[in-house]
Amino acid sequence: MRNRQVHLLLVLLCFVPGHYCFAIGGVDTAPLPASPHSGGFTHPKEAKLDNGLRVIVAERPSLPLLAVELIIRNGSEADPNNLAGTASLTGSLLTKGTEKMSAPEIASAIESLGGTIFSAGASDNSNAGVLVMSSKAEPALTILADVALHPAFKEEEIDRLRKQSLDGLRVALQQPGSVASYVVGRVVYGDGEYGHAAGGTPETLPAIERADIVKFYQTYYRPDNAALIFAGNITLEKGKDYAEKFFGTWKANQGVPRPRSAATGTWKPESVVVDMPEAGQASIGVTKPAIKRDSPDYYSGLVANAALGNGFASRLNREIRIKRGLSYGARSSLDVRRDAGAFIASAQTKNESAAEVALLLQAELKRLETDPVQGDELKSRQALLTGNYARSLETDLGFASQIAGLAVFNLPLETLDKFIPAINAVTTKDVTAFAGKYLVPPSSLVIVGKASAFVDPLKKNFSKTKVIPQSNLDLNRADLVKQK
Amino acid sequence: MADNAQYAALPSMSFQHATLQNGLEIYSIEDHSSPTVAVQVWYHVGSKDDPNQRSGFAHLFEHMMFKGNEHLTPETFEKLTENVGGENNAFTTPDVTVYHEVVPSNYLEPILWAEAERMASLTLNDANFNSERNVVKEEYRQRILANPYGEFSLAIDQKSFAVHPYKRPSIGNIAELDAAQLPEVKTFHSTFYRPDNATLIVVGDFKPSDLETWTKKYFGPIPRPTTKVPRVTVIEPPRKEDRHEVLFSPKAPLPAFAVTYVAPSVRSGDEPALDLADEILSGGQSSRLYQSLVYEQQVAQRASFDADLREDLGLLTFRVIVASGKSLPEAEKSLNDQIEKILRDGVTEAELDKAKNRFLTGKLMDRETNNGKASALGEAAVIYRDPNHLNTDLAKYQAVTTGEIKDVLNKYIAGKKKILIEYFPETKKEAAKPEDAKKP
Repeated sequence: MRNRQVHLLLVLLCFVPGHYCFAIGGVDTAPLPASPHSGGFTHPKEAKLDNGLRVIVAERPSLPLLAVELIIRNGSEADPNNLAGTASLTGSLLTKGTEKMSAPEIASAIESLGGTIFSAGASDNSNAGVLVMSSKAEPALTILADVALHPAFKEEEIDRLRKQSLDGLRVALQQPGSVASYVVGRVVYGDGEYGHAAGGTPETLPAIERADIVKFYQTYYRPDNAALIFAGNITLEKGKDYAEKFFGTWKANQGVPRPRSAATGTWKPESVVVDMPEAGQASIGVTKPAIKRDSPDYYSGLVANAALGNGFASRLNREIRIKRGLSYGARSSLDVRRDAGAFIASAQTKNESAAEVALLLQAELKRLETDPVQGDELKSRQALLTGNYARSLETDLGFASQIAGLAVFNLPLETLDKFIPAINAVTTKDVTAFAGKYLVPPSSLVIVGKASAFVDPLKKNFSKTKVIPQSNLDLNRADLVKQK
Repeated sequence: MADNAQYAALPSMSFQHATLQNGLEIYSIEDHSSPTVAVQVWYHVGSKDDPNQRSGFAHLFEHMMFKGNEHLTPETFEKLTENVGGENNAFTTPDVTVYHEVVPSNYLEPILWAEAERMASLTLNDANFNSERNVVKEEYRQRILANPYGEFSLAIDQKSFAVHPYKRPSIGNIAELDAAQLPEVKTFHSTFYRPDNATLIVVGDFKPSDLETWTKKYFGPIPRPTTKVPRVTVIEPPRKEDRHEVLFSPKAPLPAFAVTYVAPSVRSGDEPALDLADEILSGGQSSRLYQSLVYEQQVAQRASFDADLREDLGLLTFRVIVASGKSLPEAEKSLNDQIEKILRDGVTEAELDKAKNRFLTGKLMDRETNNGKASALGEAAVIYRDPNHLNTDLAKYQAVTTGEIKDVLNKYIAGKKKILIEYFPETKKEAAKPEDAKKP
């Protein structure tokens, strides 16, 4: 059966050649690009099982590989109060033992097939999946279905994973970049459902009990809150058969999952320094709440963010890395979620340059509105986004993960086709409006590093900066400060 | 059972080869499945070729290759790649420096021109040289100083090689980066960045006749120097004794240690067996080290084995971060037990089949993208000096027996001199004097 192909890359590659001049003349002149070639990608197809499970199949027969991903539409935003890390532990524990198989047996079974298995809980979603040669689909799906539908959550495995997670946190809490990202969560979302560390904290991980994990699983892991995605050497018919055979008996538990609402309405700009006297570098973030995934401003936001901080030629990288040599790379991200996610502009630099980089990040945010993104700059960031998107669809896992990104938010599959034309339709006016509405200061500032190296110059511009010694940092609190 | 049918079914990738008169080697694979093309230029120069007292120079130089010349502006590579939907980057290893791009296929001719331009000449000034050097120093701080185990990683090569320049880290150090001078950039370019020291790889949507025309037109005029490319001739002497090094870090929350043995060149006939041993010891969660040290005994936060084979010689490196509540000697004993066990009993057929299946899946994943195929072809041509390695490696791996795995591990580990590097949190400095830290 032939796949329906859409000719999207044609749009991607339609650039007017010759609008820049490289060279002075003679044989050293750059040749111009030829006319673009067209390409396309598979349209995924969809079915639904009687138990409510969505089954989505992207038929990609060119290589004998298959990616399968089961996505659950809730994750760490649904962690119980004061039990940060519940969704993460629950997700990771799926592959750590079922009623029939132990953790070593699961690892050995899937790896003997030459495959890999993964499971995790993150913000707004949890997932489990496999990547295998397509000839191994049946045995791999047997394992995937077993871990997803019959996890044992043995105490022994909970203790082992808890200990591993705590050790992982000990390492992360010594790195300025990861500490900054935990702090940004609290600064943007406060006590809201996205505020806590998704992987848990040194205080919450020990407090999570088996009953919390079982309850989380029973509440959210249900077929009508899930989607099963196949991408690779498989047909829709075969995918449906597999879904019916391996996931058909899955029944919904009682109780309807309620997507939570993140309380971002209370956000106020502030300036926070975490003092890590031994830090080898400072990590700086300028941040504020931005948009939801289903916002009509989504595509404008992506282009605005790309102009500011995606790619080597973005404004932040140009000003901070290329012009001034202050960082290995400066970037920004627009973290879209079911509720409003955070916008973050960030860079790491030597401790002595932290105050300077903070000002540069702020200045570039302002300039996004006053010096509009237009002409070649606009086109180049649209091309960057559409090119990255096309490349993300080249691999089976990448394709499955793009579909998963839609399934989590219940967006229609046609959204896949919409991406490239929607990005290319964004105008200068759209970008400027987005910047004015969501990105320009006031913002919050977070710096994690050796405070003595930068706090005095920093206070000249950020006089109300709150300095928290590393030993006093409490990620469980919205104000981040340990109580005596 | 290893799936022999699967091995047989994986079709060969047919590639074309040409050599220009100036010595440039060109390998290509035509594939029209997406309207993109991957271009890579592999220079046979790496951090082992860093000039004396200039540790990190080859990598610093890699950054300078983006700074342009009288025809190339510093923005050229962005204009021809990310600004039109492509991507570009570069990396430096101890043996090679690789520049790679993926572009919409109608940009193949301009990107070939740009790669040829920077092979022909570079123009830098103090301002952009100093500024880019600062970027590299920030890269050093980010990778090494901001990472609690960055200095531990650096120490492994530094302590494991006695005289071979592999002992110098690719990233260098701040003092030697600061000492680098602008004229040295020019010398390094004329010494190593020349067509007879480079391999061009092109994979994707192109017409072979166009590729031939364009490579001749843009790379053809670059002269081939009459001098020879200098090569590292230092011979690493055999280790005379076991060595024990102890380091302390104020940043490391958990102790760590590494054990290294000297290994052969990547082109050794032992490479497939060592690679499969690597997979059996530390590939995935069913691997021996994960199962024993991390899962069962819970003495390690991480445990890995790396058959790190390079052009001249390599290392077999065991690396462990100790779990909290456990001591380094406990973890070291667990590792030693595992090493003894595999040397004594070898591996099972099931373990070997698993490793072969994982290798095959990896080969398939390489083939998902033009860039993946280009990397595999470049590695075959430059690292293995045998482009056919792209297609013959499967059969070589398939032929490895359990007996051979046991034999090669014994050959390089049993009775050989080891170097043990221990890395402690600074707070334990008093408690863990080297004498006390030695294994019981």
